[in-house]
Amino acid sequence: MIRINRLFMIVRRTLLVILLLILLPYYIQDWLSDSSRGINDPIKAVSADGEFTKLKIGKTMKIDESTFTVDEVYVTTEHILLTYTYHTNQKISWSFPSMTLKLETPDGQVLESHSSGSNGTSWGERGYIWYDMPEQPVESATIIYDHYDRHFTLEIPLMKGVE
Amino acid sequence: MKKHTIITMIEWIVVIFLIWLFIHADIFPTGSRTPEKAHQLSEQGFHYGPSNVVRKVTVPFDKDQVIFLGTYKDWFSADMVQKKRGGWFPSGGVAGIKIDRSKALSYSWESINSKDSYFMTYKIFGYVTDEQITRIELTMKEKDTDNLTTITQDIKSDRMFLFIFKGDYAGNPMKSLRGMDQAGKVRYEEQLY
Repeated sequence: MIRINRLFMIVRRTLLVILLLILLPYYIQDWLSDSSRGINDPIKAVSADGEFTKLKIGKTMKIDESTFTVDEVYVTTEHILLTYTYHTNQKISWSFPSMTLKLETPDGQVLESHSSGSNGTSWGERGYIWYDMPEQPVESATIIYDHYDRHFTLEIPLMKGVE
Repeated sequence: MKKHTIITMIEWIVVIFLIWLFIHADIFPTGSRTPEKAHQLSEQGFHYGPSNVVRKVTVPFDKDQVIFLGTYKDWFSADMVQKKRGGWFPSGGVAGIKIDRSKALSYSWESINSKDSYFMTYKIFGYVTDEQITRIELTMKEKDTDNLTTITQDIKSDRMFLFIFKGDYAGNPMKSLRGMDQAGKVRYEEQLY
């Protein structure tokens, strides 16, 4: 009996150590990549344009089984920068086609992105998308996802005090 | 209960929890059990499809690569999945290509690195709109010599074709793609280089 107990203890503690050795680096790395967006602090890039407005958005649109959340919008005199979080239910998945997202202003201007970036995580990705400021300043815009037969939209404010 | 027994139980609980975490985190991705599942997940993750698969083809010279030829609404694709470490993973070609109905046929081609990078798997595939076309001919330049070889495929009711061949890094060996009618008359021709 003592022998069996001893054997169980060895198995148990070996498993414990091995699992900890595998899991700890994994979660530390995961946590590190989650806490940084991999976008070199968007405020730094935005500051290059001078003064800017930062708006907390936190709005989500569902694209099939995935969710796309606009976290923040930075508006400068020249650019609109949008940061997002993309959640998928798949472990191995394609990155989000962020360049296909267009911004449509209420007066009918359609803005296309010319620059974006993202950082993959275990659950999806975080990223950012740049747009040029429209010629006429606007209070809000609609984000349009139009890829194959999927069509989704999301309203976002571009000025403070606009819902 | 003895203190010793409690410690043993706590240790077991921690081990079970860690095993659960290990499985849940999918640290060593195992992929999908079947090529079909991998293909389905690949399309789902791409927000495309589910496509109507007309042909499932295992690459003749590499049984670890499977291609799903199919259409979805106005698009066609030849999605590829690859077997690695016992599981099936997405590979190239999930994206659908628009069928251009103003043309006799719409085609696309892609070359994908093999698992060990020793060769490239070429696939050229398409959707034939012109109902007169019953046969597709692909002409290729032979390696080392400049001789041309032609391979053909009959177009059936699904209106699709898919040629697969082994290539290397020397470049694209394809020369031309032709669509012929029943009488052998060329109704479509495209140079491929």
